[in-house]
Amino acid sequence: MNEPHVIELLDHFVDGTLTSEQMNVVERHVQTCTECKEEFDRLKTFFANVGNLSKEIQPSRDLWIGIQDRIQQRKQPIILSLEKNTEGATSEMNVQAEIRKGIVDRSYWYFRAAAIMLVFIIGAAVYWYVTLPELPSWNVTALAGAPRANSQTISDSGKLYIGDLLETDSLSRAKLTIGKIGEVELDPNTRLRLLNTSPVNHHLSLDRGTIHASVSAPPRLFIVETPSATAVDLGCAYTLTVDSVGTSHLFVTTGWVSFEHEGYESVVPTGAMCITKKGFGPGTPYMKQSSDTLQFALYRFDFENGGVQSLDTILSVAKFTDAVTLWHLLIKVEMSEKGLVYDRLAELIPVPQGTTRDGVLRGDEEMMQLWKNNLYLNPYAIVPVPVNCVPNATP
Amino acid sequence: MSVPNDGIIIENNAESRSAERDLILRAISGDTTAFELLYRKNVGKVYAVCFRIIANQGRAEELTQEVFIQAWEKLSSFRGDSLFSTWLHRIAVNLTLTAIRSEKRYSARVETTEDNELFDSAEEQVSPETAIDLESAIAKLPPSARAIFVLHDIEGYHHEEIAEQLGVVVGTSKAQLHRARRMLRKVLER
Repeated sequence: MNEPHVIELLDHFVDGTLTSEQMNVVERHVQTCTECKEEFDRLKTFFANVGNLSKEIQPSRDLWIGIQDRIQQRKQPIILSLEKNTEGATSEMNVQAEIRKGIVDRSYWYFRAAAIMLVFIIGAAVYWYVTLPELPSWNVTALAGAPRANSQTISDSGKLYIGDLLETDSLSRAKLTIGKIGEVELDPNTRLRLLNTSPVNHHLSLDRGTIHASVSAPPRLFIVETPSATAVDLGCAYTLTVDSVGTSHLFVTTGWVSFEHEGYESVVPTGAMCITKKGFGPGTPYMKQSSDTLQFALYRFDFENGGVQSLDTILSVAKFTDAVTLWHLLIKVEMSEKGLVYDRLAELIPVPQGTTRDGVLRGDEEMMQLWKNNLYLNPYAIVPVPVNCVPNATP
Repeated sequence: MSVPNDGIIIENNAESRSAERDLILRAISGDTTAFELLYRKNVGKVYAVCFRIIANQGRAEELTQEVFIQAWEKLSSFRGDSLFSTWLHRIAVNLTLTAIRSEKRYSARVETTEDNELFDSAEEQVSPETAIDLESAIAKLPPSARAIFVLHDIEGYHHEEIAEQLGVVVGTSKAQLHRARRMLRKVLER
């Protein structure tokens, strides 16, 4: 029997918008007609591709800064009223400026002599400057818009010297070349300062905004200061954001970064994130795929005195991929809580040979290092295999 | 409006919702840090829907910021009947569709939704180099067809909801969806 093809109906068939009689006809026809079956298979492949589209797309820059600025403007009417009050002060300043102008007019000859001296000073400074050897600097390339180095617009490329500020506005982006070891890209609305550059140390401070650093160098050669902690490169690529209140967000895409502050260190491996806040220092690192519950509880633990309640939540929802988090907590928690953290960690990943529970609880540095090695020094150990997946986990 | 499909749901368990509720309450009381956490959990989903509908990175970023600013201002009206991410999603869709409606090109498209020539010419706009990239192909659809495709096939909206949101009849929504699919398949199967 030659039934008419149903290609035109397949789309509606998939959507379930045909009558039940039409649905039966299409279903029956597709089983016997090669042409319609092939079309149906292509349609299924298409829907599979659409279904596989990610539900999330991350914007290319951190949008929080702009949001925060605007919501804080709405929060602070007091500041606005203070600004209005300063208008009177401005008038007074204008009066004072007028008085100063009068003094300058009356002192014309003094001014002229001073100007001549100034010309000599500038001439001497220029001579001194051109005879100096070239100062260490980083190359700056404008990727979009017109970034500014020390308020000077960079339309194409330029130099950033020690002490210089580099700034992007909402429309500009820039790239810094760090000697021969890597690059730093600045997103819009970012401001940083070059603190030092030499063959053994490249050092900058990030005041606000977002940078994407990609560095291929021995550990601790490239360092970024933020208002709340110091990010020390251990050979990696990462994105670092500082918001308008000085809170930093770090996401490591490859390698490791150490977030350090007043003797405490958070080592953040590939795929992990870490927050630092002013007055608190580095928080505990967590994997990007860690559950929301773990992330919320960790935030409370690190920055809001969440204490044992938050710790219980963290331990109850932790998976083997959260071993990095638990290892850091082992150092942070009170002595009375270390046993809980150790036991959960030992449930999730194999206990390294040469370590004992008692040793770790009393803070044996060698044993802690063995755990650390187990988690960080071997790339395969960043996501350790759970105990129950390895028949002979303990040799 | 029904709740869109589970793609926008973060973690539908009691603990997560409790933590989220806590953050929302703190944000309502003016705690921007709590609101920042809500932002960081949801920005990827909000930006995805804005970007796919508007198909312009800069505009999508602006709209995403606008979504969160509007959410901050309306936060006290969030009653918790739905997930916070669902509530944000609705704001995102409303703002993005409003932005599309304000574009002159969109008006022209809507007025001539039955005009096959427009879709034929749009098909030609998709170059072979981008044929394998579904996201690129979606971005090159005409604005109204793109919005309907994204809302129906990616976000799980029904035609009735889409028609109401876009101010068109249900038949137009269906017709545009099938044309969008046909155009995309034609490009992807090259």
